[in-house]
Amino acid sequence: MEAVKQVSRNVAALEEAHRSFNRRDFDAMMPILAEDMTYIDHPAGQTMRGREEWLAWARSWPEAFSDARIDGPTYLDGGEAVVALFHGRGTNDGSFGPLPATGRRMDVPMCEVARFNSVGQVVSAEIFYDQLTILTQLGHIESPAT
Amino acid sequence: MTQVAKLTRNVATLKKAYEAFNRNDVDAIRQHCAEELTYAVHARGIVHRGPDEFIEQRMRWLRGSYSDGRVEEATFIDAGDTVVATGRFRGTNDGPIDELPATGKKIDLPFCEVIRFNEEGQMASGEVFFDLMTMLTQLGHIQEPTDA
Repeated sequence: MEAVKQVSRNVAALEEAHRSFNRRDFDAMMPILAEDMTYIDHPAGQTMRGREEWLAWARSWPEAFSDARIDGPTYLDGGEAVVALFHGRGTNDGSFGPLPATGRRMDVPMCEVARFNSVGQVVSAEIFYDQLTILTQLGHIESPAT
Repeated sequence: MTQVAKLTRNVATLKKAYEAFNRNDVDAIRQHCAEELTYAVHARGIVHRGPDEFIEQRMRWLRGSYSDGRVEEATFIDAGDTVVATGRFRGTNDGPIDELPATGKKIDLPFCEVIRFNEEGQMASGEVFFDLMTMLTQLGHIQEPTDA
């Protein structure tokens, strides 16, 4: 019974973090993040260490896509690990890294894997998605066939 | 106990499938595929339907592009009927990738695969996440765009 409670808690925490992202309430996410957390954005080849670096990364999405949303999430409960499958959607009305705003929309499938400690905080997480899909949707690049 | 045994079985099956892939025995993967298998490759925007298509167009296709391709550093998350694996696909691009010619270059690509199993412990659906941009950049087919 204890195990079941713990499992549900981690899923609920990630769900709540995603809802907080959608309403841009970054402060609400802080309690579920361990201070020394690490977060890997694989396509960007970037590892964020600690809450502050993660926060800067998280904020960069709505800076590039002011209506950025985590849409249609599904959560897979793996006990101390929770996996979220969702679509990252938004309108590119701000600079996306070095790239200027295009006014176009992105809609990309994403997979986030979060690992929790025993007190229900995220200690490490990683995200997988296809950058080429985003850059093609924004018209920055023409996809060579694969 | 039954539940635990069932969960472990699905992880064990996915491990076996990776081992079969790594020893270049893609036909051995077929026995783990349900007839109703669907498999989405998000980065390519395609869905493979049925074991034959999956084996031919995904497994053999990968082997044709990377004859020494291997799944390495795989970590498995057991979520009941679903198993999530993260790892790295490493290999030498010694065959064409569709119309892109072989480059002889090596890739080291992080991936996440999500596989749902049916009651019989067969793979019923799957999806894989990776970054095609990373792959094509490593192969020298593409350069990351900049505003400069």
